Amino acid sequence: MSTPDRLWFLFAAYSAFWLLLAGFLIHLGRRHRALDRDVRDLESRLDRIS
Amino acid sequence: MWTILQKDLLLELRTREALSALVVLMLLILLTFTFAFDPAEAATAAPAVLWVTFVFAGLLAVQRTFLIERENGSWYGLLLSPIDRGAIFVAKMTGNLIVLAIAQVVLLALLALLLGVEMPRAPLALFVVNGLGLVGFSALATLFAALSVRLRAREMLLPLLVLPLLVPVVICAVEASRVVLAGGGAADAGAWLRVLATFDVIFTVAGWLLFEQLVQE
Amino acid sequence: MSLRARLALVAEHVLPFAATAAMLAALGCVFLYAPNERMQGAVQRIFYFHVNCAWSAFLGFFVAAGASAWYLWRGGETADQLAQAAVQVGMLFCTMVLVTGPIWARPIWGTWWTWDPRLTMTVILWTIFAVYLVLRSMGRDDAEIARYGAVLALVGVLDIPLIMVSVRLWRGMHPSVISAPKGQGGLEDPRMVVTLLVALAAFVLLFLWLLWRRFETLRLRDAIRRVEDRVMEARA
Repeated sequence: MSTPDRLWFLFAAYSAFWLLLAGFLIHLGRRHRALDRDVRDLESRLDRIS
Repeated sequence: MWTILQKDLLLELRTREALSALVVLMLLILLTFTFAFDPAEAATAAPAVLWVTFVFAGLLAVQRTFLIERENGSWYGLLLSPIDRGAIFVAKMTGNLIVLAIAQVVLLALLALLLGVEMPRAPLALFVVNGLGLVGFSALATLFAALSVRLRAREMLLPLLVLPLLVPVVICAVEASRVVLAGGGAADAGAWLRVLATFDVIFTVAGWLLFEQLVQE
Repeated sequence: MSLRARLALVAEHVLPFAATAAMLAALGCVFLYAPNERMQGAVQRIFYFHVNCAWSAFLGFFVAAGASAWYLWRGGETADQLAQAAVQVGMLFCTMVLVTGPIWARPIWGTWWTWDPRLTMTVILWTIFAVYLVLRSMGRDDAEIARYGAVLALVGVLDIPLIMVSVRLWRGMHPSVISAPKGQGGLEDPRMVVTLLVALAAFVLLFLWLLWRRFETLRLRDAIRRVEDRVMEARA
């Protein structure tokens, strides 16, 4: 296999790593925002009660 | 502990429910394999067929015993009694093991008949090899079976939980069986048997310790 | 300041920067510092990240098993949250191993998949913990499911040496692929060792940071759940 082809595999492997990592971090970010929304929701409900 | 074991066994022997269902199921799976395989390849495929049949039928059978017990409420009675939980595990595991062992003998006989597999002159060796595999199988299946009956996806769940964990058992039991069927002795299958034995010890002990933590209601 | 608060401070402020810096250093080493390997050429550089993904995955699963054992015997939802976070981070790295492995294998061995003992074992491990995640998703607030998950994690990790041995024995019997020594065999140049160590440090920091973030999210979720319950009760 010629060197340019093999370099493509090298690039693919590292891209996969960063893509998966980014995906995980985005997932975490979304969860965090959802939790923030829940907190605000709770705060407003507490305000209404008290 | 012995009383529980006795009770389970007596129940089984009298109703013969799980055992007969198990045997019929195994026969059906075996028949399916017979149609799928070229008889000439039977000998090489035999141990694999044995174990695939065994695992799927066996998991369903173990699950059923728990289901029945849970349905008629005797499970809670058992939990409320002051018996050591670890002992309950060993009793259940042994009960399952005995049922499975009987089923295995039947299955081996069927295998010899249907697939025309040559049984080695010392069938005991084959039985022991597979028996070792059974011990590990029983330990894990018993440990996880109590969960699966509760959830909606119960039939799917027990195989999902147990099969990946059972990979060493399947690999070693199949390969060791292959060695024995080809006429080898215990020494030839030594490495496989050692792994099986280790597996059995580790997971029987683990099951005994962990069962206590699992069934707290 | 309590230990937990101190840890939290470090995790929030120091760890992300340390991890990023270490990662940059690692990338630098991998692409600029490490030499080309004799037989495999540039593609071999995948090794530095591939192997570390595997080690990080193992680390995650071991932490999960430890936390699960703690949860089973001592109780407390913190242990369970840690276990879940560890499994998820472990699964991330495990997936990376299974993706980068075949990408590396293709140019070297000519095929995407081989029943290489280590890769095979990684697949089995992946399925065990994938089932863990499926199980936990079936009952987020269910204590019984949490306990069974803990047992699964513990038993899964206990199984690892047995899986390794049996898969190695099995592959010994059916060697259908010529396995060129990949990685461990050919670390001839000391620069390679240095690169590997730098990458290791980067991965450990990354692992810790991801674990922390996931754990915090889980902890927060449970805390909010509890407050929600109290709000419901207050209204009634």
